[in-house]
Amino acid sequence: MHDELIAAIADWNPALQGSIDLRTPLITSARLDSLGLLRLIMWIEQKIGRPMAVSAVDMVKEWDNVDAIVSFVERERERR
Amino acid sequence: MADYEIIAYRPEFKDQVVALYSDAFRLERSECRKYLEWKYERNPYLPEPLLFVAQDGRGSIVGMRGFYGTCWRIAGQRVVIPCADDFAISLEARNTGLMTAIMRSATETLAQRGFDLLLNASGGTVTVLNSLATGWKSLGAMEPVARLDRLERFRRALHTSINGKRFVWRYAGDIRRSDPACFARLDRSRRRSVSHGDVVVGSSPRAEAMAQLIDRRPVDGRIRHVRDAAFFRWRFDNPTREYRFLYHERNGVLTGFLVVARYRQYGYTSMPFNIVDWEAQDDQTGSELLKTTLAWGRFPAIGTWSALLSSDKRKMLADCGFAPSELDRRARGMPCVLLKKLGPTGTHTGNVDSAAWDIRLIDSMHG
Repeated sequence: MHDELIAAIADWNPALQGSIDLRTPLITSARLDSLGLLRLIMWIEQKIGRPMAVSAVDMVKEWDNVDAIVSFVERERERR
Repeated sequence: MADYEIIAYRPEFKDQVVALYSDAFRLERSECRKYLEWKYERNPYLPEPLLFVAQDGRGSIVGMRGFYGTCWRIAGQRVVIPCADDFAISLEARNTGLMTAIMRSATETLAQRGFDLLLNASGGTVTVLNSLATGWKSLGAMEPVARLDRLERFRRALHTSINGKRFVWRYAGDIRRSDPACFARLDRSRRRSVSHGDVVVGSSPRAEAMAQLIDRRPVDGRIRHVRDAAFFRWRFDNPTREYRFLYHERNGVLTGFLVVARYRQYGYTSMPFNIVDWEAQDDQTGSELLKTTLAWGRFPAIGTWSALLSSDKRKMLADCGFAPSELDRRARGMPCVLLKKLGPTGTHTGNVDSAAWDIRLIDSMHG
């Protein structure tokens, strides 16, 4: 899932191609913002199979890098 | 991020700001100019426009963020809170980190100017996401409700099944013109006796009388927008909306009012008509106003925010056929009002508990 997300982020913003690894800050660095964030939410929702109440999520803590996002998705899947 | 400079708005930027806004929101330039002038140049709480713009290396304005003045009563004091709105980024500067850079620069500058709090009551999905990512807190979902006639329910169900829920959530969908006949019906009703007084229809606010009615009402201790005559005069002068005011009178004294806003254009995820403010000296008057408005206007689709209304008012709406709407956005905690605390921690003003706030649709530019 890590590689899939890295590929997706590069697809959303080709300028990020090759510059993202598991720990690269995405939100605090503003690499992902505006439509990039919207696409990230849609990607997460697709993976967990339900809508996300985004205001309940601490995005900086939970979604600031690929590793954290994938861990978040795995936790949310287990909660189903 | 490409090389942009974020600076405070100056009057010489006005034409470029209008053009950017017009392109971003696909609106006529003359309409945008009137709207921005109303909102930022005639605001009763901030004497000068409070906007931030991003300039590229050629001096072109490629991004903007506005903050219009709002005034809240907090622990007995009037507190001016800039309310963030009108985020526009040019097509070529999107997805470059500029949105985050403008927000960071704006919040730093506003903190230096001494503001303790910022609000955002009108954010679309992308703006809400970006705000939450930069430390804003949600005061909770505003729980929109709507009353749809059979044809409107059918149209919306058809639109959703054709386009898919995700598309509906992301984008406003087809733009339609709202039906002017509803307001024409209200206008023809003018004044009629109801069981406990008279209901009178107006097309302009009785600003002083409305403010006096609010002053007579008991306060419940929640943080609420100061609804004084200056606010009403300014707020209902919004050039992008048309308003009708239903006044309830008893022996010549204003005992309640209900305000309906008409969007001239709307998408399938929004309502052509909204109840934006509703105040009455007692529940019987409030109920009579609501029932009269719906009976006289015969609106095909009318909505409001219900989250922070009293339980009695929520029941009145349900009894009149209002049901939860915008279900896709509701599932994601939207629409919501966002708060950003800039000042020292631990003060009452940083309360993000929605129960501490009285927020109405009129406090948002959706209203």
